[in-house]
Amino acid sequence: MRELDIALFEFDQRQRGILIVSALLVATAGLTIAVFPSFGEADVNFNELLESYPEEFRTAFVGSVTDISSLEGYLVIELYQLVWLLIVGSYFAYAAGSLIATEVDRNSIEFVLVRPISRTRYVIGKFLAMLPAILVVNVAVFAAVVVGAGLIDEEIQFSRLVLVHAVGGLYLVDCVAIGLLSSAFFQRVRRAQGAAIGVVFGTFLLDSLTTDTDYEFLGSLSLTRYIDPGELLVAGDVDWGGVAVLFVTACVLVVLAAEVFERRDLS
Amino acid sequence: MTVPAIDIDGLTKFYGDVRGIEDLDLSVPEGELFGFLGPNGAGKSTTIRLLLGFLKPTEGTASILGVPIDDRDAFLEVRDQIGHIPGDPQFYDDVTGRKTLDYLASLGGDERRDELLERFPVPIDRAVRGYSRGNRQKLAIVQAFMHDPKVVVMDEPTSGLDPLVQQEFYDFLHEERERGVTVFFSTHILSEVRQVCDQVGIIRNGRLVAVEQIDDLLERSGKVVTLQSPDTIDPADFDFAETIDARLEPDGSLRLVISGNYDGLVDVLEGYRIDDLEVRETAIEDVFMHFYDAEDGGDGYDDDAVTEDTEEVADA
Repeated sequence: MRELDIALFEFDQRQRGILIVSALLVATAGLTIAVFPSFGEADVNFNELLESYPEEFRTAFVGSVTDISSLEGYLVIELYQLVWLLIVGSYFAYAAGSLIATEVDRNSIEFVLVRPISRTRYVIGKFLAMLPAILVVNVAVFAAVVVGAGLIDEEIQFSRLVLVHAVGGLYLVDCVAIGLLSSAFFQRVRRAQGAAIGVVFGTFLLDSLTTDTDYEFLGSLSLTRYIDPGELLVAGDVDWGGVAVLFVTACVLVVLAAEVFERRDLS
Repeated sequence: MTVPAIDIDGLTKFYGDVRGIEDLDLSVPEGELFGFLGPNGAGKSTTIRLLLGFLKPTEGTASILGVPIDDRDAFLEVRDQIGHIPGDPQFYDDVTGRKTLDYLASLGGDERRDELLERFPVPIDRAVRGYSRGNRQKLAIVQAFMHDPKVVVMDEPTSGLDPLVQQEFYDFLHEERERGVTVFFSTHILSEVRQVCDQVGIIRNGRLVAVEQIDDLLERSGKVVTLQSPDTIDPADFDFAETIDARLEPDGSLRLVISGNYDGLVDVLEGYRIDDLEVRETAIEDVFMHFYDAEDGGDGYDDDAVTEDTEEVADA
């Protein structure tokens, strides 16, 4: 399995970056959770405050949560809706943007592609390299939330946390696939990374800004339309249709990336 | 009938309106050292990258060991038999030489790695980031030959190598040829072509200007005879059938270019007293300048750049 050789080699080089990102996210999750108790004690009705925000703002940064006084609701707003979907998503799109482009930029790709490796396999190998990265980040944040909740003596629904991380992980796979396609298409690191981040960020905003407007259909172009951390973590409801869309989208993007890369010159 | 190791047929590549190469025909028999010579920007790298399938031709095709480059599946298989050194090779900075080779070996094999590393040693357990240009080039040589390929295509393989390693590499190439390996490499260094190649193709402005056997080329281009005499030399005396060029140097000596036998020369020399007489082969630079200078209209090409490169070649 030469794809796996490619994936392992790539993952190996990315380990340090992944560990740093994981550590940062663990710290973010820890701090967020540490603040929660004082949040509940404060003499402010946050739920009312929440409702006073404009609709667009709420869809973007709050999601479907209406009760911020539970740890789950609080985490959705403070961690999953914004940090996970927007920032971690952008990070993975950005990271994946360099998967192919770096090697084209510096010509090392010629060492690989002169060997009996099809470009399709090469692209798949690069894609696979990011899966353990997603897993590591996922497990780290998951563990941080569980441990953090324990430390502040709060209960958290274990199975719902698993759900939000499972679908959240799938969402990140899609972000990687966007970066991969961008990398295969542009073959220049900066351009590929910029475009990938732009797409993730742009569609995130698109979804938020068009919700409950006449242009809501535009938001269906956005990945975030198919994942709702609030529903997952607070209500424990899985939107299987959304999951299917995320899954199929990831597959289509990877196939597209491979096909684009097969057809293009290495520039 | 044996299939040529490399067969290029009407290969053309345009980048938009800019010509990379145009209508290139070339055939390299198995077991030959073929030099692909031309100034920078002439289209050498484009040709190599087309040949290995990294670029898609605008027109024409090529094949390696009889397998056409546009046959995706078959060409994938034949790549087992191909080695390659890219121009200015960059490896993976944070990875050691050993791990780099391990990785490439996992994709294409490495039967001869140890033998090659002995011959072209590199600091194998250090990250490639710390490698000198020469060490990177040696690593590139090792990876290109370690799976014992039948055809090796190299883009300026000796750049960055010190003269000793360069010589070692030339010797190595000759040994490889004895084993039946076909080597196709680009260069702009004339002495390299002379020392290494059996045949040379000369490319200029994206077009193949000539393909010549090195020996023929040198033979045809004659010998340079320098004569110093206390007598006054009359160049007209030296105008015999074999003379290509005869002229007096500022110091009064005669510089004569002769192709063929020396009978005429020996006869004339009887009439002169001789302080010094030197017969040497024509410098290969003189031979190639002829091709580089050949008029080939600038159509869209930056002729200044070419001129500059030509000078660089002369210095090489």
